[in-house]
Amino acid sequence: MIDLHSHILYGIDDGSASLDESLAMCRMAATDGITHIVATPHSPASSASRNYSVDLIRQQVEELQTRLNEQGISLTVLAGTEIRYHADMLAQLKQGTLLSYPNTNTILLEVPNNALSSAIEHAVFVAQAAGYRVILTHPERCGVVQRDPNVLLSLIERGTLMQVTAAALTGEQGDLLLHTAETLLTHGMVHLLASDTHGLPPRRSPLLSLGRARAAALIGDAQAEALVSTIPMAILNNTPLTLPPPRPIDRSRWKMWRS
Amino acid sequence: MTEATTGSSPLIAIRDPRAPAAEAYRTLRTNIQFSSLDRPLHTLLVTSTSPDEGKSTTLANLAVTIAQAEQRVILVDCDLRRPTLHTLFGLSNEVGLTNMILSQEEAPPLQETGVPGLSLLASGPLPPRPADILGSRRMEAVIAQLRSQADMVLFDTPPVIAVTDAAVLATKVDGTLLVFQAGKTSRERARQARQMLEKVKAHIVGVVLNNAEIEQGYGYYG
Repeated sequence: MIDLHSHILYGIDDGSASLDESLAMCRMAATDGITHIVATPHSPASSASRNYSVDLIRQQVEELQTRLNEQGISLTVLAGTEIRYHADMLAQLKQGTLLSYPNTNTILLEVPNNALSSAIEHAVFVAQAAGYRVILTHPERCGVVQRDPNVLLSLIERGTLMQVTAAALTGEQGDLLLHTAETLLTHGMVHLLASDTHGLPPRRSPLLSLGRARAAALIGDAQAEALVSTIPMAILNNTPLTLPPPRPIDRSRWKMWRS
Repeated sequence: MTEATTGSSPLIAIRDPRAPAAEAYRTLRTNIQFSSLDRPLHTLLVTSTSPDEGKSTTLANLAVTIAQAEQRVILVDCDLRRPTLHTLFGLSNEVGLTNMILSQEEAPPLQETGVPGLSLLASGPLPPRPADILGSRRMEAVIAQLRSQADMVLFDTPPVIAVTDAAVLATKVDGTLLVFQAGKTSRERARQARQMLEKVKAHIVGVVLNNAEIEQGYGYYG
């Protein structure tokens, strides 16, 4: 499995706190069946950012990879950024101070949980018009999505990929996120599962297998495999993706559940 | 070989230039050119009252027909809601108009269509509010730039009644052509479309009636 969203680097953001914790997280990921993990620290525009620099990211990725190789742990660590949208985003991507996935045109984009759908659409459009493929992080947490999941339809039709957090799907993040994640999944609105790990248990852990199993129960094994393997692999290989069209959610039933 | 040059293409002007329908497009070409002798027509917008009236296919065939008369033609997909021009030529819409609007770059990302003299500026990534893009000052600069590179620039837009996009753009071009479908477009909607365009002082050069019953008796010439 491939995990495209994690906070396994230490001291850069609100993720891992030490080298030891980072290594323990990597071991846990490998044991869970993860073969590739992308370290995606929060960009400086996020309040969760502490000490962001691309040099530090690359240095820590190299350090972790060396240690893992020494310990015989088969896990590839790659460098990325969880990019909080802001006006200088494109310039900083160009300068290389924000990272796309290595040697690809795909970025991991975070929008605030309280963003309006027009703000989300604007951020995605700006990135797409500059030639980027966009993965939107944890849409299940966005208020506008929780109120009406169908706001994601037009974004998906325009090629935006939706990344749901594995822990949302396992129920660890509460009923609202669970129900939102499940509903998105069963309507073809989820393309990727990622751990978005921030530490060792009891913090959000570097695990995908439980989320994958839950997804398989809902949408079948082949499609669940796509979320953790086929699709993230295509992203890292920078190959085009043809995704099945999403299905609208019945708004009246959704509203009834939410009330 | 693009789809446009193969047998499955909906572009009759390429597939079978001798067909009566292709001849009809030549008639359309001539009449558009003669519709405004006092004011040369170099930028033309095409719209309809609702989807599926054959607007984009009509426009693409017209573009091919104009290019066949050895004019340089640029087709621009300004239907930033459901763009289709790229599919008619078997091309992609990943890069196009919206990239150009946002990037300030000078060279338009034109694609060759396989028809000599005819290139396509596809939609590019779709924006959240298309009318803002089409109504922008940058759009005027883009139109001027395309105009400097071609004899004729043709713009596809969404239906004029549903959204304001076509009306916004109609104020920036030399002429507007309406496409109606016989037996489908109602008189009321046709009138409404005309009124909406007249309200913004668009220059309506004419109406194309698609799928009209063909009079019998011209077989000898067909």
